[in-house]
Amino acid sequence: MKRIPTSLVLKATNEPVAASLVEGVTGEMLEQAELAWAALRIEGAKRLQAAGREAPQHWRWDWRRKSAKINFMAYRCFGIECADEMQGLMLVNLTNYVSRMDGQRGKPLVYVDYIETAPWNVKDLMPEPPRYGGVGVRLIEAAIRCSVDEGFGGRLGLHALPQAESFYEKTCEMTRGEIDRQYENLFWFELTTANAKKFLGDKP
Amino acid sequence: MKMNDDRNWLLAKANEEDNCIFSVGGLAYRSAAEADANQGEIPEAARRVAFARLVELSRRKQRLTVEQLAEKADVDVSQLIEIEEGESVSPEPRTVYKLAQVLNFPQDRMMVMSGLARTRDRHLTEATVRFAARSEPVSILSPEEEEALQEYVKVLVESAIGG
Amino acid sequence: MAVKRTMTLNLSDEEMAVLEDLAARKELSKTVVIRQALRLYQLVDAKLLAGEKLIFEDEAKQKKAELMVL
Repeated sequence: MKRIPTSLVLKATNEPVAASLVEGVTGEMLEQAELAWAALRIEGAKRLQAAGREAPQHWRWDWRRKSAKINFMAYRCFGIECADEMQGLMLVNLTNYVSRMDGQRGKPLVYVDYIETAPWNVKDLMPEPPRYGGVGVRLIEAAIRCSVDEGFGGRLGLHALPQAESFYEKTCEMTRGEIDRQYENLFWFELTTANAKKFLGDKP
Repeated sequence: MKMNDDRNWLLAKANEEDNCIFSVGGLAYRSAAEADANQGEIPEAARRVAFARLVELSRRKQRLTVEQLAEKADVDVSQLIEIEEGESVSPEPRTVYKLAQVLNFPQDRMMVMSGLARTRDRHLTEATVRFAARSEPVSILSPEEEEALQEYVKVLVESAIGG
Repeated sequence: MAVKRTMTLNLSDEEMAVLEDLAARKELSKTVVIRQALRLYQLVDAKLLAGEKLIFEDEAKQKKAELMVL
C-alpha cells in the first residue's frame, strides 16, 4: 500500500487541497469506505426517485465484494483520500482486456473495472452541495499513469454506465466504440495513447 | 507515479467533471440479479468466523502452535493470525492453497471458505452458519468443539465430492 | 512494487521466438509480456481451483470450446 501526494478541489473555496492517491487499497479500507458510502448512496437514490428523477445507476454496489480481487496481480485498486476519508475508489484490470480499435487491436490496456466517487461528492445527490471536485479526473489520471508505467502507452478501456458516458467522451476524450452485448449493452470506450498524453498535460 | 501538480490543470479538469456521476462497473440491476442468484451464498460475517474456527481448530487438533503451522505450511505468520482472528477480509490465494494442503482440506472448498470464490451450495452455506455459531474461544478442543469440527469437515468433504 | 528481484530465464530458441513475437506485436518489453502471463496464470489458476472452467466462445460460429479444466 502506497500513498502518493496529490490534490483535489475543495468546492467550498474552489481551491486545491492536499489529498493522497492510495495505490494498493486494502480490504479493510474497502470495507470502511463501503460502510461510509452505502447508506448515503441508497438515501440519495431514494431522494432522487421521489423527486421523479433517475437514481444513480450504481446504487446497489458493494465495494466489499471486490475485496477478493485485490490480491490477484492482474488487478490493482486505487483510492483518493482527503480529510482522512476515502473520496473515490477504482479497481483496474491489467491483463484481461485489450484494445478494440483499428490499428491497435490486441494491444494491452488498463481496463477500468469499477470506479466511484463518494456520495457526498456527487452533484444533486445529497441535500448539501458536493464537497470535493476532481475525484474522477484524479482516478483516471492514476489509471493512465499506471498504463504508462506498465508499458501500455496510457491506453485505457472501460464500459461506461449511461450516466457516465459524457464524462468519458468529453472530459477524458475517450473514443466511443461498439455496444457490448456481452456486457449489459453498455458502450465500450477507449483512450488512445495520444489522447492519454493530452489528458495528462505533462510538461515535456 | 507522480501526479500532475499544476493548479490550473486541476481546476480546469475538475470544472469539466462538474461533480457528475462517472461510475463504471455494471448496472445496478446486474448487482441485484447477482444478489438474487447468490441466495445460497455464505453471509460474510459467518464465513469469516467459520473460516477462522476451521483453521484454528484443525491446527489445534494437529497440536501445532500458530508459528508451527505457519512454518509447516510455509505461510506468513501474520496472515495466519489474521485468518484465525476472523480479521481476514482478503487472504492471498497462495496462503489458502498451502493451508488447505497442510490441513488436508479440499482446495476448492477452502477457496470458498476464504472468500476467494463463491458457492451456491445451500447445504454448505447452512452448515457454515451453524458451525460459526457453535465455535467458542477456548484453548483446548472441548468435546463439543471436536464434535462440531468433525461434523463440519464431513460436510466440507462431501460437498466437494458431490461437486 | 518496491524491491525487484532478478531471475535468469533459460528459454529454447522456439520459446524465445514466441516471446519476441508477442513483445513485438503488443509493443511491450519481454519482461512485461512475462509479467502479463504470470498475472493471467494466477487468475486462471484460482478460478480453476474454485471449480470454474475457462471457455473460448465463437459467437459467429456458435461454438464454445473448453480451453482449460482442472
